Order: sequence, then C-alpha cells, then structure tokens
Amino acid sequence: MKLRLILLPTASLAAMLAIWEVAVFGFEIPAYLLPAPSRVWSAAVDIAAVLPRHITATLLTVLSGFALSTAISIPLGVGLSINKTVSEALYPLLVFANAVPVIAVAPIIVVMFGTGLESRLVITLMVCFFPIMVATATGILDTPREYLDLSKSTGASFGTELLTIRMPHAAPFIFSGLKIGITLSVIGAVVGEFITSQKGLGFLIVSATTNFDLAQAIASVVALALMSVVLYQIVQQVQKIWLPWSIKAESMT
Amino acid sequence: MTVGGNQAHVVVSEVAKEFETGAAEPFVALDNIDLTIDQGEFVLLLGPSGCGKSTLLRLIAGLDAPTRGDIQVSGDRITAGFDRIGMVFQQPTLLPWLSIFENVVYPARVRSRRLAQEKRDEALRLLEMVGLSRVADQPPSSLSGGMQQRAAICRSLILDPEILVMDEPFSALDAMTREELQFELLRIHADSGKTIVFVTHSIPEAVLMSSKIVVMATSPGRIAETLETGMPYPRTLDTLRLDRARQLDNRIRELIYGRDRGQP
Ligand SMILES: Nc1ncnc2c1ncn2[C@@H]1O[C@H](COP(=O)(O)OP(=O)(O)OP(=O)(O)O)[C@@H](O)[C@H]1O
Ligand SMILES: [Mg+2]
Repeated sequence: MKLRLILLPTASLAAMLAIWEVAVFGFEIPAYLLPAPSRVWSAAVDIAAVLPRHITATLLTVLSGFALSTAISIPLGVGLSINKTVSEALYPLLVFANAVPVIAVAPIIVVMFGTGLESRLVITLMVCFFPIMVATATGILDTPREYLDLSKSTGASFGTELLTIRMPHAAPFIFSGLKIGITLSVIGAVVGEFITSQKGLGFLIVSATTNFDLAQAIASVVALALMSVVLYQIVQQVQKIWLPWSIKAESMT
Repeated sequence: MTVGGNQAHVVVSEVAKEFETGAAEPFVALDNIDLTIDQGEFVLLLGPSGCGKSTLLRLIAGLDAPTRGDIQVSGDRITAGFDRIGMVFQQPTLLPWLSIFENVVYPARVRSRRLAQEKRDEALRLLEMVGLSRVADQPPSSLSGGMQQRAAICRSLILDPEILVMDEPFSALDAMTREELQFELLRIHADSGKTIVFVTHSIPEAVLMSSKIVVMATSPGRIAETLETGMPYPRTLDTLRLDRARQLDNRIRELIYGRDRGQP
C-alpha cells in the first residue's frame, strides 16, 4: 500500500517528462522557448558546483525571515486574542498591512533598508507574519469552554491558564500557521532576491532568464520547490515529535 | 452506616441566576433556590432538561456567580476557583497533551510544581484505586470513555476536596460501565465521607446513590421537592427493589411528569 503511494506518482511524473521530452523533439521547439527535461538536467549538472552556494544564501534568508516572523507573530497573535483593546487597535492595521501586495512595496523597502539581508528579511516578514499570527489567535480563542471551566475550577490564574491550557490547545493551530508560513517564507525570500540580491536561487533564475537560459532557470525553480517541500516536511516532523497528540486530532478533522 | 452529620456544609440561600439574552427581560434560569446540604451527604439533582441543574452546579462550584442570593460552604462565601471543591464534568475533559498521570495531578500543578511533586503518590494511589495504574503514562486518547471518566474522577479527588460536584458524569457511558462507576463512587463516598452533589437524568441512578434527592422544575428553574431517601448504606443492586425505592421512583415521576400521566 505504502509502495503504491510512491510508485504511482513516480510513474505519472515519468510519463509527463517523457511526453514533454518527445514533444520538444517532435515539434522541434527551440530550447530558448521550452528546453527538454534532458536539457534541464544537464543544465542542473552544469550549475551543480555553484548551486550549494545559492541554496545556502536562499536558505539563510528563508530561515531567518521565518524565525523573525515566528518571534513576532506568535506573541502578537496571543496579544490580539486575549486583549480586546490590543485587538481593536491593531487588527485592522495588520489586515491592511497583509493586504499590501509585497511585490509592489519591495522596491520601496529596498530603498529604505538597502540591498542587504535586511530588505529580504522585511519582505519575507511581510509575506508570512499574517497566517502565523491569525493561526495563533484562532487557536487561543478556540479553547473549549470545558477546558476553561476545568482551569477555573482548579483556581488557575490567568497566566497559568494561558500557559497550561490555551497555549497547548493553540499549538496545533500554530503549527498549521507555521506550515503555511514556511512556504510563504520561501516566496518572500525569492521576491527579495529578484530585486536585490547577487546570489541565491531567486538571483539565479533572474540571471538565467536574462541570458534566455531557460534550462538553467527551470533547474533553479525545481531546486527551489524541493527546498520548500523539505522545509515543510521538517516543520511537520517537529510537530510530530513535539505534539504527537495533535497529529491524530488533526487527521480526524 | 448513616450519612450526613446534620451539620450544614453547603447552604444555598435565596439564589437566583439570570442570563442576559439580548431580549428586554433577562432569562431566569434559577429562581429563589434554597438548599441546605449536610456534611457527608450524597445529594442528587434531578429534573427535566433546561431546569437549571448545571447552572446550579456551576454556582456551587464557583464557576459562575449568582445574580442574587449567596452560597456558603462551611460558613465561607464561595468564590471562583474554590479549592475545597472537586469538579467532574459530563465529558472527561482530559487535556490531550498530558498523560493520564499528568492530568490527574493537573489541579496540583496549577498551584505549584512542589505541590504537584508532593501529590505524585496520591495520584498513583487514586489511579490504583480505579484500576488505571497500568495506563498512567498513556495519553487520554488511548483510553475508553469509561477509563477516561475514571481518570477525571481521580483528578477531582487529587486535592482532597471536601465536596465533589458532578454534572451527569456517567451519562455518556454504556450501561455496564455506568453501573460499575456508580458503585465505585458509592465506595469513594463511604471511604472518604465527602459531600457529593451529583446531577443526573436517571431516576434509578438517583435512587440508588443518594441520601437526598432534589427534584427540580422548569420555567423558571426552581426546586419542586426535596426527598430524603431514607435507605441505609451500603447500597447494592437490591436497594432498587426495596419498597422505599419504588415509592421514591413513583414520587419523582409524579413530580416530573405530573400526576395525570401515571407511569410512562
Ligand atoms: N450562559 C448561558 N447563557 C444563556 N442562557 C443559559 C446559559 N447557561 C444556561 N442557560 C439557560 O438556562 C437554562 C438552564 O440551563 P442548564 O444547562 O442549567 O439546564 P440543565 O438542567 O442542566 O439541562 P440539561 O438537563 O439539558 O443539562 C436553559 O434554558 C439554558 O438555555
Ligand atoms: Mg446540564
């Protein structure tokens, strides 16, 4: 059964690549419009030596941006959910900030923060703070009344209730936010690299397309997608290890 | 064995509870409740759905405040988080991120790490008593409903409260588990002498366990009649076959369904 789950998608991928390969040669599509998979592969081999450097650069932006967003969004989400004044004062502004298309403000951010890591961090933060914050607030507010009755009947203070009931209950929600956040971080990092960077997978794509080297661009995109999947899986595994009880609950809903 | 030292333990005087519903007049869930529960009594609250049993229980447990009147426990006015009271809900309400053992010590943990440490042996003893020692380290989700409710009872006992307050604790269980737990609770009551206030929808359950039955009526929620059970402890399955048990059963049905409906 498990094997089937690996074999089937692998087979359909192979079929798709085969059709692509045959079509490119059959219709004589020029490589600057659509390179065949085999060409993409050789492009990947060509850039294999420099790839780790670019991957590391992108990963640095993604992880530090993600860490920054998490450090800001979780406390913010808690604050919004437990304090009405905070929520009324800040929530509309946060919705507005989230509504701003990041690609539109990216040039402004570069002017303000320069072409270094700072700009890319701010861009990443803008893309991924919102889902993490909303997930945190949702989880805190979702705490069942029975749990709150329990903590009240044991005489728990507000802080104890937050730490021993509301936060643990919100943890799986927060992880859903983090899983969305980590993929959005990759998008944020690439947008940042498109406009500022001299290295990273985003930069590699831009420089390849300016040379009409689509094979290299596609190879970079695939590397990027793989990175995104791996990061997502890591977050998922952390959840499995830290909150084993939440996995079952999640698969039931 | 007799129950109730004739010493008032919980005194509910002229209590009313109203809820704001958005309508012009607030909804009267409880009206003018007077109730005295003696030390060590086993009191069952019974009545039609919506008559305010849970509401009254929440007031006694200090989870909500009455709109009027007051409730005293051994002469002290009740406040939220009153640690002389252990609460058991209809659902086990075990925290899924804690093991069974950790759930049982949770009320101690809320106070301090040290108290939680001190209560370890007590928790193990309670789990042993209800036959859960072997699953102490497992998560709640791996236990059946009956086992979970047993763990919840252990949790309510961990701080050795004077009063146990239970809101239909057995109504989500199958008939056999329910019977087992009824006798387990009777044993706990006999051994500990705790005062128990227990809500149920089941007339046999009320007759089997109680020293006093409070029958409530609805619109507005009020006490229809208070019946002294007047049967000796320990109770057995034969208790329900006593003449007195039949009498109580009939009287409760009369109070709930009205005289003209007879036996359903
Ligand atoms: N927080 C609340 N806000 C508004 N109305 C409430 C609230 N809690 C209870 N009520 C109302 O008060 C009445 C009594 O409710 P309660 O839950 O105490 O009844 P009950 O006797 O426990 O019923 P059941 O047997 O179904 O559990 C009901 O009509 C209910 O709708
Ligand atoms: Mg109820």
